[in-house]
Amino acid sequence: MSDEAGSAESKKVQKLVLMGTAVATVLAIAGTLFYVSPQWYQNYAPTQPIPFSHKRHAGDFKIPCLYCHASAERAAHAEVPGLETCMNCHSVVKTDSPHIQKVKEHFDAKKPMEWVKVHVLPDFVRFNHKRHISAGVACQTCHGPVETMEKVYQWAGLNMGWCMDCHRNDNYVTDRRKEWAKKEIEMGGVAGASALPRMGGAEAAPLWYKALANKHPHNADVSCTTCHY
Amino acid sequence: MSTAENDLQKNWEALRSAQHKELSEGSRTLWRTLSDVTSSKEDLAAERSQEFSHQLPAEEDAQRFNRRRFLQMMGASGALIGAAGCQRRPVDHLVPYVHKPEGLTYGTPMWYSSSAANGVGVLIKTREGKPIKFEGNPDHPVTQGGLDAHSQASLLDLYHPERLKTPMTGGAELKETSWREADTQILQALKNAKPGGVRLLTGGSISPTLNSVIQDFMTTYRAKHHGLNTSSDAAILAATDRLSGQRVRPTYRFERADVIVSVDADFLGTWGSTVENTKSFSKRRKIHQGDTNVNRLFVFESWMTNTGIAADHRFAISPTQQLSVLKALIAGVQGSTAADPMVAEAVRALRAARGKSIVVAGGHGPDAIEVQVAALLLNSLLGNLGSTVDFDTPSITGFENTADVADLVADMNAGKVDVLIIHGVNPMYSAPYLKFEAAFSKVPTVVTVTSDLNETAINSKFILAESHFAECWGDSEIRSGVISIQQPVIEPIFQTRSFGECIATWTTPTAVAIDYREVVQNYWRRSVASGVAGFDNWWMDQLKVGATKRAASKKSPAFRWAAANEILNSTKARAKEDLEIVLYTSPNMGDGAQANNAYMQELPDPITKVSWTNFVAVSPATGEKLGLERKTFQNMSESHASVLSVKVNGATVELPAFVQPGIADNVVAIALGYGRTSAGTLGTKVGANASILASFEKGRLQLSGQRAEVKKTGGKALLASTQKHFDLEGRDYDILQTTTLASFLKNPKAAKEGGHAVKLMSMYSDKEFVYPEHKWGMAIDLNSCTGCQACVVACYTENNVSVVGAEEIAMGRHMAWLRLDLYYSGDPSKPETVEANYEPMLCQHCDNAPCETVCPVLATVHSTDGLNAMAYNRCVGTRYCSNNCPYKVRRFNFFQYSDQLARKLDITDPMPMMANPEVTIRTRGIMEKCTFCVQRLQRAKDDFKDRGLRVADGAVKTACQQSCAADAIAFGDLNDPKSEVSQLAAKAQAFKVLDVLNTRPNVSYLPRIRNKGAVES
Repeated sequence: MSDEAGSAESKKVQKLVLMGTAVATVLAIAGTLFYVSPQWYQNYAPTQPIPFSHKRHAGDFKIPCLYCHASAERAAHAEVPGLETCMNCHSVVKTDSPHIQKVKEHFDAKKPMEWVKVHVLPDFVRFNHKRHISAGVACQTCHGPVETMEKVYQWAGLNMGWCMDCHRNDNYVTDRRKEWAKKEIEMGGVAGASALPRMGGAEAAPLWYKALANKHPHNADVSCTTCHY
Repeated sequence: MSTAENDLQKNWEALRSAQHKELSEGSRTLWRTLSDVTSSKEDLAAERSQEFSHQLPAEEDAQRFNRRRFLQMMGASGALIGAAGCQRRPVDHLVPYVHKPEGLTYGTPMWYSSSAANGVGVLIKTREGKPIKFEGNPDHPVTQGGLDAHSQASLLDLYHPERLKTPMTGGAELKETSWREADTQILQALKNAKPGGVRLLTGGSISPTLNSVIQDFMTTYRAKHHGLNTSSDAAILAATDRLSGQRVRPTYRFERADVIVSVDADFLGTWGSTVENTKSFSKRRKIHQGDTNVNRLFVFESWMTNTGIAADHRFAISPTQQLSVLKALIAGVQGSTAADPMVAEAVRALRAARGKSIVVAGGHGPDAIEVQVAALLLNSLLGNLGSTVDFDTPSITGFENTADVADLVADMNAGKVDVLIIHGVNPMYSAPYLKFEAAFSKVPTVVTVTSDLNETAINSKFILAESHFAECWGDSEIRSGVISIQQPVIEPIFQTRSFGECIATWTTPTAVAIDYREVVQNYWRRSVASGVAGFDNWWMDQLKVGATKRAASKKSPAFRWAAANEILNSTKARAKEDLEIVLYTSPNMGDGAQANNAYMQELPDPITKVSWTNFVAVSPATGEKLGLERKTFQNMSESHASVLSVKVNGATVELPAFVQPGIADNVVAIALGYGRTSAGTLGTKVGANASILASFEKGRLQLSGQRAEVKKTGGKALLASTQKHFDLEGRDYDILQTTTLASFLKNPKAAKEGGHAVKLMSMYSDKEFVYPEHKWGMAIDLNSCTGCQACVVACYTENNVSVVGAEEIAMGRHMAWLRLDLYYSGDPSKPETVEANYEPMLCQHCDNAPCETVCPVLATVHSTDGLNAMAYNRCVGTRYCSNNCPYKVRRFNFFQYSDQLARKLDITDPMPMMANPEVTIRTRGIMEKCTFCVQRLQRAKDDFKDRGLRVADGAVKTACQQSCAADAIAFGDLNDPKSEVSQLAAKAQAFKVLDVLNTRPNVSYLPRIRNKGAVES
């Protein structure tokens, strides 16, 4: 091989390497953006083991959110209920449905249902449901109109900027709350006032309801350590 | 130039010249390594310039990790992105309980009281049914909230991937078996055994129920119970036996003693019930609480221990001198003018504190029993029996009623033993002098109940997997009459049983597996609640509080002091050997049972700061005599230490040498508990087993005082010591302040004298930054701290801190968020002048934090409650913060350490279950450091907010503070002037480390104040 041919060859290789690097870089950037961008998490609606309808339970039957997700007002985590909660009603209600039969099967076998997580925060973020609910934030402020969702999807972006939108705006919570209260009244009151009498009156009202009546919600500190540790 | 600027300039110059003076003229009083005091200033300067130039191992990696490999990696990760892209995010599942346990709230911890394996009252924190942290139980009357490092670290034992998971049969090959099969065969062997052919060999059993179960078993099979006691309690029991016919170990009430003399008894580290000792000892060191009548501690020891460091007067003696020191004390107390100036001061102090003093002696030195007899006699002469030396509520060792182990070996060799059941001890490893190896082959059935496949277990016919204390029922009686029920918080993770369950099962005629809870309940129904109608109420109260009292079984041994004098008079004084061996119990490794526990291996030795091995420690003078080069040993963190071979009684051990100032000349000290041969992946062949150097004659174990022959082998070995990780830079007084009680009483600021009286100014006004609600701070009392390092392990388990291994530590990559720095003073060539001081060092959460100003991505910033926050997800790993931190408390993840342990063991389950879910697990390339346990702060704020209150003082305790048996750490809100921490920080003597740098730390220290003949009586 002559020197000239050799250098042509090496130029070719150089060109290929350059192109390859460029393509790889573009792919990497695109991939990263695609993977981490919050907008891709929004509207995420995975298929669940059984097609549980929030519209039916929370919308049509107006079962308060906290009936199932009881720990939301007591703890950082809003629990997904165990099958025993389902069986409170479904031991008698709609027992002929194959889905309910699946629930019963799992319940009898003491085998938990593996629900697919819809709202996922990264491991380095700590979120406390209790604090938000006791400050009067409605479930829908972050989770959207769950009572209209046949299949639950992620309504909000849940990225840090989205958190900060509220936390840097003192009136945001109250404004949002009012907005939702209006909607709730329009919709017949989902977690709101009209549901209360059935659940035992004002005594049994959720904490957030009392908090809203009592005081102006306190907006939390936005130090890093509030959420990241 | 303005006046302020002028002042600033002057301050700087003053500081610089003071530092320069200390560095160049050697006028420093504190030192960390020998080279600090002995090197020439040129050498010192050269050494300092090399401080951080470690040989980077990245070189080796770099060769392998060339560009080609890099591109390959790129390709692979690109492919991964593609694959992940299809599903858009990792699918995570929610798996709720089918039936949620009563009282459980997801994400909220539940606490259960229990008793640790060594009888220390413990609170177990569980999350969703998994134990994630052990803490001391403040309601336990003896241990009062303290918890030792071993019990903290035993969390890892519970989830250890190399735990025994099923019962096994030994022999040529190990085979898994079922409990039913094992029970049947063992029962058969027990029934067929000839009379007296069934033997039990255990460690100290302090469980009343277990002891009653063993009693039943012994009656059923006419069995004999032997105890293998390698602790110093053995000599105490033997001594009381010889003087009174009763084997009893008194409780030493350190809280009642004004003067304490210890002859080789490391009661703050390894001697007796250390949490109890530390608790009661440190109660009398609280000068900051206005108590100036603090205790005074005299220590005579050969090796350097935590007790020696805590001493007000420390004397380095060789092991053969122990008895003569005690005899001199006796003579002095009896009135003769003490000839030996070494004991003169101690005698004066003891005579002034009759009835309010304690003399303790320890170890397995020469004439160990005579030494204990002398200590008892001395206590009796001083009128301490009944006041500080308490026989009414004696300590329980579990060896009071056991037969001698030497008899067992003799019977085994004579073929008299058919079934031998072993639990809690590992004689094949820890007692080679008993020559079990040969005797084992003559016993047809050896049953070992153990949680790991240790040296004894692999030679047994049946190896039965033992439950962890968090998995099974039980109880403990740490002091006579003080009871704690051990309740399980998790079902056994594997097919395991407790020892009590095994014994109780075999006592039933058909070996039906029993419910051990009923056994425990029945025992207590019989013994405590007899006559009490509501046993169930008693039981529930028990489980809630975690400890109760019953009438102590009072021992009133009638001592024959004439016999004591006789024994002492007939024991001749020993001649000093040229070179004497000291085999000591390592506070970290103990008897070696936790050798496979990564936390205990990683934890640096409290004195030498060496981890992951034992070593031969000698004094500088002895080191030079042995031919060690000063140039290599003086920086006290040798990456290439000379290997020494130590020969005692014909047995030889080869270990790297470590030159330790302060230990007696002509003594070689080696820690026991290392050199396991069958301990698992991490613990096997770490260091060398020094117990082969022990001698055993006429039933007496001797661990120190024998003649040793020491040679250099010419080999070199790695010693990973963190002692030299950071340099003082000549800022002695600004780092650590000490004084004597006399000076302190005259002037509370005495310890500050000699410090740099420079106060730098801030560019910002104080009003610029306000902490509206809380301002968290800490105060550490150096006078109480005993250096036990329970806080360090507590921090590891609470904060998911990674273990990195010896090689990484040698490169300065230790990950501990909290470390115990050791600073020396005195002349290293004269052991008696060497004093050492501990200083716990953690992130100081400075108001003017130097780390914050240099972070290019704002990953470390200040929070509104005064915390120096670390946002892991922002950190890009520039390490600027660590470079700029004067305290060197920031730790960088050079590798994915969090996975490394799991990778090494090649099993991922069940270890991840151990992690604290409230703390993020850090990845490679991330900086981390102490957070003041921010997860606990947030939880406390959350709880108090519910009630509309501010967080009350004392309501939130950091992990280190909680475990501290000495109560040396106070934590709270500096915004509240009434909080404990504010009050301590406001004390005249309180100082802040490197305050001259104007970092404004939120951690205050109270100086070490030595009680040196200050108070005239």
